[in-house]
Order: sequence, then structure tokens, then C-alpha cells
Amino acid sequence: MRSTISSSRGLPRRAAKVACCLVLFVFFGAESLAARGGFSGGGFKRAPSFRPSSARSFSMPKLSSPRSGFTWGSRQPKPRASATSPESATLPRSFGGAASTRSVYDAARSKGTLFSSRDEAATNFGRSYGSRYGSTFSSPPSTRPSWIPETTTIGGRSVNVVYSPMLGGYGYLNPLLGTWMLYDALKDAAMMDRLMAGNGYYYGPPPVYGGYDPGFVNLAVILLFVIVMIAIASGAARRRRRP
Amino acid sequence: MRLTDHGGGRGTGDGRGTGEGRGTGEGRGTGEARAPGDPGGPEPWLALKKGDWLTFRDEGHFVAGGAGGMDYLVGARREIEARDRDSGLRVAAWTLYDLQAEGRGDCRFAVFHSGEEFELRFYFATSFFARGTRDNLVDRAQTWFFLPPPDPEDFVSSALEWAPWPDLPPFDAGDGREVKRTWGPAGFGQTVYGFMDDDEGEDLPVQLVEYATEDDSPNSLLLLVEERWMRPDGAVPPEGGFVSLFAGRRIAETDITHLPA
Repeated sequence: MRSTISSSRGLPRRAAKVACCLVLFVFFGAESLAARGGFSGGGFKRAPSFRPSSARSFSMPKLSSPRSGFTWGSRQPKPRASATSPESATLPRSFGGAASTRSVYDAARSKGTLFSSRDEAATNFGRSYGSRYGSTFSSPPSTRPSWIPETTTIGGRSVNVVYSPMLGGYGYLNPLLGTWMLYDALKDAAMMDRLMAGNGYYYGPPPVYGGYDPGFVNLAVILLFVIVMIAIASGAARRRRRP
Repeated sequence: MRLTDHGGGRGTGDGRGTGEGRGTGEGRGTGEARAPGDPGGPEPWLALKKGDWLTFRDEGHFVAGGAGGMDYLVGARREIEARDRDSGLRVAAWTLYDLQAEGRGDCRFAVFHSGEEFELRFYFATSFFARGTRDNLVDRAQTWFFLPPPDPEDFVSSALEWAPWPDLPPFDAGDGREVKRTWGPAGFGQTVYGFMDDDEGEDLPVQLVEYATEDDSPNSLLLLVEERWMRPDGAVPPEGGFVSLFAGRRIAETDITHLPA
């Protein structure tokens, strides 16, 4: 009988310990895993190592003269000054999708730039703004226009968009055709979406709310654990108080 | 296998395209043998002979050499191979041809090939970079390509690491303007250790690093080659190997005409 009571009292304690461990893992485990690279991604794909097996184990004379004023390279790119364009500054998080903000939708409706499909929006945008976002310039502009990206994707390949005196504007070497072509912001789906968003265009169904993101799920799980822990602890305390 | 971040190369499919009909003495462009987009291999470009002529009609040469492009005499051929350390299989190769043209300095035609991918490139020696051993570069304060050593006042040149992001000074990349650009890793994105055949058939150990810029530049590629960084007995000379630097760009096959010798 004693052992039964003992085990029934021990169960909540064990459950509380497990809950504590789970909460600690949620708070610290995932973070440490990410720190070890467990969740990291992207970056350059590393090639196989070509380093010969012979080691560098030699006695070498060292350079010891004063070395001042040297400019060294770095492991990481140095931050660059970049001008924020109006288009990029006013971008909604996800233009055209259900998660777009209600304000963008409402503004588009009031401005008459609300469309049921992307094709309709693009056609209207091309008529209204096509001349504004050209890529031909008689001489290289002092600053790169915000609607001319550094790179664009052609046939699944990323290519540089550069100013070409021969083309008289910004263009790229088409990797499929092997020829230089003028860049056209209105034919670049990604840039077109940015420009349309920046000018208050909206297409697709009205925004729908009710979704949740992973952060919300994590918070909900943590709260659930805390509630369960409190319930278990209070239940155990109640049992201890009983004669 | 994708090796570069930007287009320009073309998949070779089954490795066809051996340059049939070449060597007839006609000035037919090698690029004309295939329609743009047709599958083809690098073989015709790997079979260039000393004394052949190449004419480049790409944008850079229109600007620099007039509407007729620029003719170059093909010189010596070198090949840098990178092999997998474990399997010994060739992973990639850079075939470099010396190009000679009056008043054009030291130029190279490069065929980069790896598996079914290949790219054609035109390189030229940059004016701001003087070749030399690592010690020479350090003595000239040309340390832009190296990571800073733990003690910048006391270090061995051969122990310096190549920097993924070199801090290069402004220089003319072919358009007559000295511009400071941001250069980052390209190609394999790290130092490639390989071997280069020399005139006597000996394999010279080579370190090769590729850089690229996304800034506005007619020549967006850099190729850094360090020859003889290791002696035949495996020892590393403290002064480092002999370092060369080339700037260049990718060229479409259709922008090159080949005239056999």
C-alpha cells in the first residue's frame, strides 16, 4: 500500500521533471542545435578537398619588418552603402498572396489598382508605368536605377545585368542564346511584382486572416507545458495536504 | 554539377561536338558549327593549336577593338587539373591558351570544363597587379588577396590564406575607368589545389582561386593562380609560389571565330 502511494506521488514529480526538460529543450536545445549548424543552410556548396596530403611542417624564416598600411582581404563581405529605393521601402511582405496586409488591399481598392489576376494587373501596370521603368540610357546613369537589378534569372541561370554602351542601356548576356539583350523590368516577374507592389497594385483574392506561423506554434506549445506543469504541481500539492 | 553562379556555360549533353571539319584552312567560326543552344562539348576548344587565330566579337572587344572585334594568335597551351584527393578522379580543369595581339598585353583564352559543364572565358593580365612570389606581393604591400595573419608584424608568406573577399584597390577592368568594386568568391568558392602541366610535361602544383564581382564591370571575373607553391619533395617554400592574376569574362561560343593555322 505504501509503495502504491509512493509511486502515485512520484508520478507527478517525474512528469514535472520531464515537462521541465522539454521546456528547457524548447528554450535552449534548439538554439544550441542551430549554433552547431544543425539548422543552418544556404551559402556556397563546398567542393571536395583538393589539398594534397603532404603537410606543411617546415622551419620557415618569418617576415619581421614593420608591416603598416597593409590592406588585407576578409572572410566576410564588407558592408556596402546602399540606397533604399521607394519601391523596396514600400514592399509588403508578400505581395499578391492571401497574407498581404489589409492596408495594401484597401489602398489598392481605393486607388483603382485592385485586380482579380496578375495578368490584368500587369497589363494595367505596363500601360500606366511602362515608360517610367525603361532600361535604355544614352550614357551610364550616375546611380543605378532601382528597377535595374544586379542580377536576373534567365532560363534558370542567374546572369549579371550590366550597363552596355553597345546596347545603349542595361542588359545581360543571355546564356541560352549567347547574345546580349536589353533588360526589361516589365518582363522580369520578380521585379514586376516589386514595382507593382511599390505602386499600390494588388491582385488576387482579398487577404484572409487566421493563419499562424511557426513562432506562434512554439509559443503555444510552451504555454501548454507550463499549464500542464502547474496543474500537475497543484494536484500533487492537494494530494499531499489530504490526510 | 553546377559550378558557377552565373550563366554563360552550356551543358554538353553526351559530349558530342568534336569540331568535325576543322583544320581545313577555312576561316569558319567554331561557334558557327553549332546553333546557339545546341548541345555541344568543349572538345573543339580544347584542340586549339599553336599558331591558330581566334577572333572575339563579344561586347568587350567591340568596345575596345572596334566593330571588327580583335584577333589573337594562339600560343602555348597549359592545363590546370583539380583532382579529388580520395578518388584521384579529375573534378575540373582549366585549359589556358596564351593569346598574342599587338598592344594587348598578356591575355589568355580559357576553357573551364567539369563533367558535362564548360565555359569559355577571355582573361587579361591586370595593370594594377605585378606578378611575383608571395614575398614579392607582401613587400609591395599587395596583400589584398590574403587574410590578415594573427601577427601582421611577424608572419610567413607561404602560410597566408587566400581571402574569400579580397579588398582590391580601384582598377580598370577594361572600360577605361578605375573603379573600386566588391569581389567575392566564385566558381568553387574556395582555393582549389591542382596541378598544371608545364612545357617539359611535369605537373606543377598550383593553387587556383576564382573571384567575381556583381558590380557594374565589363569584366566581372578574376582568376588567381599560384604556381609551384610546393616543391617536388613536398616542402613548401617560405617565399610562396609565383602568383599571377587575370581579369576576364565569359564569352559565348558564337562570339568567337576560330581560324586554324
